[in-house]
Amino acid sequence: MPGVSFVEATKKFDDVVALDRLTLDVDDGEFLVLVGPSGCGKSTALRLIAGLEEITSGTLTIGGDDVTEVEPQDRDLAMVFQSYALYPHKSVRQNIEFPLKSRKVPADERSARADQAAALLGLSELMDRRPAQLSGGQRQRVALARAIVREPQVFLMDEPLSNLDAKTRVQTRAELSDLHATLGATIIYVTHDQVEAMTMGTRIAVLNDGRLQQVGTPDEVYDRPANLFVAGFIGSPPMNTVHAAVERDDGSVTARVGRSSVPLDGALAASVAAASVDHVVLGVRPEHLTIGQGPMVATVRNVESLGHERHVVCELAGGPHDPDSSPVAAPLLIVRQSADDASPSVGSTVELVPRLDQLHLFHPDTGERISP
Amino acid sequence: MQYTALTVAAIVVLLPIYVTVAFSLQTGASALDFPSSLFPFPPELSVFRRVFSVGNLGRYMLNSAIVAVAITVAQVLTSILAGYAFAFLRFPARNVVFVGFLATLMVPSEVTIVANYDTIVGFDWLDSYQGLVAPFMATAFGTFLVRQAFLAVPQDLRDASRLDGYGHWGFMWGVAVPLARPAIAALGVFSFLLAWNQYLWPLLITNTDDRRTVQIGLKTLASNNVNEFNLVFAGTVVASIPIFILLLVFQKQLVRGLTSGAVKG
Amino acid sequence: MALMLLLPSLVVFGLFVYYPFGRTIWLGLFRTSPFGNRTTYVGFEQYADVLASSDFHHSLWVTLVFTVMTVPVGLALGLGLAVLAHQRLSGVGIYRTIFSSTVATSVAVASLMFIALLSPSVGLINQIIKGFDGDPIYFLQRPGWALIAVAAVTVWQNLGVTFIVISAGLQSVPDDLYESARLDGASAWMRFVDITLPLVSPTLLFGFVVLTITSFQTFGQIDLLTGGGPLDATNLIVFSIYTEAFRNFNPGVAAAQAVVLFLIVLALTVVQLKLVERRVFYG
Repeated sequence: MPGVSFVEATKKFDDVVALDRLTLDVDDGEFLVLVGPSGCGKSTALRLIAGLEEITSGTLTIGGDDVTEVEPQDRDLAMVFQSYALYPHKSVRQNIEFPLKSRKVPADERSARADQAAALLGLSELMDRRPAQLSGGQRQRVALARAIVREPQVFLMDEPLSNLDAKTRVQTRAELSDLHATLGATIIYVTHDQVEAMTMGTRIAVLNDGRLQQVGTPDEVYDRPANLFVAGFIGSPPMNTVHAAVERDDGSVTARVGRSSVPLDGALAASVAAASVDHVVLGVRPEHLTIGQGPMVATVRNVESLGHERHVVCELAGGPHDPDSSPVAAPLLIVRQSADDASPSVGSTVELVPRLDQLHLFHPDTGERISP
Repeated sequence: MQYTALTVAAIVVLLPIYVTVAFSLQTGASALDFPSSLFPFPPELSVFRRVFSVGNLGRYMLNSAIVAVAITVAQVLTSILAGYAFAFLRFPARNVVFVGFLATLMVPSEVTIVANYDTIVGFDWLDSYQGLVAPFMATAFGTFLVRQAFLAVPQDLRDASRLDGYGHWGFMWGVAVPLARPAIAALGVFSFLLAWNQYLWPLLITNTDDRRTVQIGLKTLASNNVNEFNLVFAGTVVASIPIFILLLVFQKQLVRGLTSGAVKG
Repeated sequence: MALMLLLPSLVVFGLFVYYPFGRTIWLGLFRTSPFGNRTTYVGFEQYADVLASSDFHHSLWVTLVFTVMTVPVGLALGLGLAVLAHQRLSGVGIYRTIFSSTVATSVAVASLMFIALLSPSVGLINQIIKGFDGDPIYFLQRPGWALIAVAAVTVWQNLGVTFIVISAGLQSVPDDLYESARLDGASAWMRFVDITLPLVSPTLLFGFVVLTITSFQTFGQIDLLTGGGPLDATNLIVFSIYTEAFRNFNPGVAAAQAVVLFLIVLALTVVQLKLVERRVFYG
């Protein structure tokens, strides 16, 4: 079982905590994406696994063995760097063979395995070129070939697509997923791009400020974000969140923002009661809002057309209910519309209809999810 | 107009070289009459054979070549090793040691000749290749040059090479040194030039033809043949030819070496 | 690991820089009796004697005059050549190679080449003078001429390096500055004064410091051309150290002079960098 496990792993650089008590299991064969904004600790976590940094406290095991004292080259893993880290003075072939050379693989086997890796990635024609003569996408593949040629148990990838143009990135994303299926190896993949995370990962681990926020499948993380950070980070445009007051009347419970009042169903009402709060942060994804006859009243501030869909930016009437909650005078909500829907005109007053079974509630102080 | 100025300047710069060559190609009488002395036709070449027989210049040049190559190889090696330590390793008192290296640049070699001469006598290295080479086997300038080149090697390459299974030694020779090759070549040419042109130290510690370098050999040639000046000038020309060729070939490297922040004469 | 990599250099420096530096200071504390091997500890007395000695003062003075004669002229010529060669002309590369060429000459080669110009019997200059029935000038044998002659050799020998360094400085000046100055109607002279000079001033300062230190280290020209004479007119400080140590067998005096030389070079470096830095555009 070559899974990777962090237990209470902490990494400090001098006094700066880069990674704070991370506990995370990566299963054998999994494609795990570590995602978060820059400086969140995701690259540090990857470098700890690689052995390029030493853990400050806690433990890290690979395949059940504590690897604190194990040198990077003895960890049976390969890494693809954001910069690709190709050796500029070596040909593509020499780059791919380099990790085999240090392991005293005989020359003929070396060259056979390099050919095989190159064929898998469509590099066979480029073996005698230098990295400077390759396009970004080709360099990226050489870096991948250099990683897979060793047939390691674990692949570490540090933002491998971030230097590619948009078209190549989409294509390579698919290729990486295929490669994962072909090799069946464990891939731990770091990115700041939530789209990459959603499309590639079998599971996603969201980090912020050195702390793990949530781990789960892409759907779990999207459908049930564990806190306000995850709600805002995963999804584009992000989830709409507004402070709301909880009002109880005759057994019915509503969340009120300014002149808008959203009814909470039984399960949500129960969770508010369980959390014993009189304010909540109400979250609703842009695609779960429609313009029609509903409980929320707003003014259209801007309409952004993306061609296939439309983002309507609305300002809730009446301002925030909680006067000291937000520096913004009035909360803005984004409504995602199909291009086929009628576009509202800017400045008009509209009513918004939220999908009541798709509401999220968060604790107003801690930001943690309180709805089921 | 621009070419006139350039050409006049070029003539002035080249004049000493041209006159020396012209005088080396003719015997006594004809060389004393201006302006015919500047146009040596027909050239008298036999003196160039005497440069090697009477003047023993072949042996001097061999000695210089041995010493300069040994110093160059040693300086390049020690600079690579020390430059690597300063660029890629963290160790206690690193800055102190680095300052200690740079401090050697503040001590001109002329200051320490008396004590160094005693040391060489103590080792019984007078008139030996060891004595000519040993004091110059390390260079703070070269270390600095190589360190700067190593610092330009991306840290990702070091990390990648660790995962690829290479320790410091493998990375140094497999990646860092090949990438720093321009700087190392510049150091090599620069070291060779300085070593070949050394004067004071070989003058002090050599006293036989078997070890004299070409610079000291020229002095010997000049003082032994005061009246046969074309022989002296022919020796001067012969002694210069290898280094002129070297610099024509390695002009780029030399310019890089000279302009990389510090010139030590 | 680090120690292993640093050790070769440290051994060489220890043996041939740190140790002899300390020992030079130490040697200066001992006096060698005339006619004998007996040495006595005299403390700083010998340093005081050296500092008070009129011969040493003379030597320092000559070195200073020599520096004033070589450094500004050398820099000016190097700058002139660099500016001349910094033009987009076909074939300018050949001129650059010619102007760099003296970098290939050793001090011995340069000195002997100047004998071809300056020698009273065969030298070209005296051939010309004789052609006009004049009396030959004994450049290397007359106190009034000898230092000038040695300075000329030195300027010429250093010209290649000076040219290369200043050219590199010029090349780092962006072309669009010149282009915009031309559009503003600046004359060639104004462009030189307002753009070239300020922008190469850091390079000039660097050359100034290096050439000054080099001139305090001058030895080969003296040994080959004048032997310190005539009448000590060219007895520069390093030649004086050499004479005391290896001709007069006074290692103590030589060591004391060497320590003074070290202090001068050190002070020069520090003072020049501090003083001139302020007047230099982004020094």
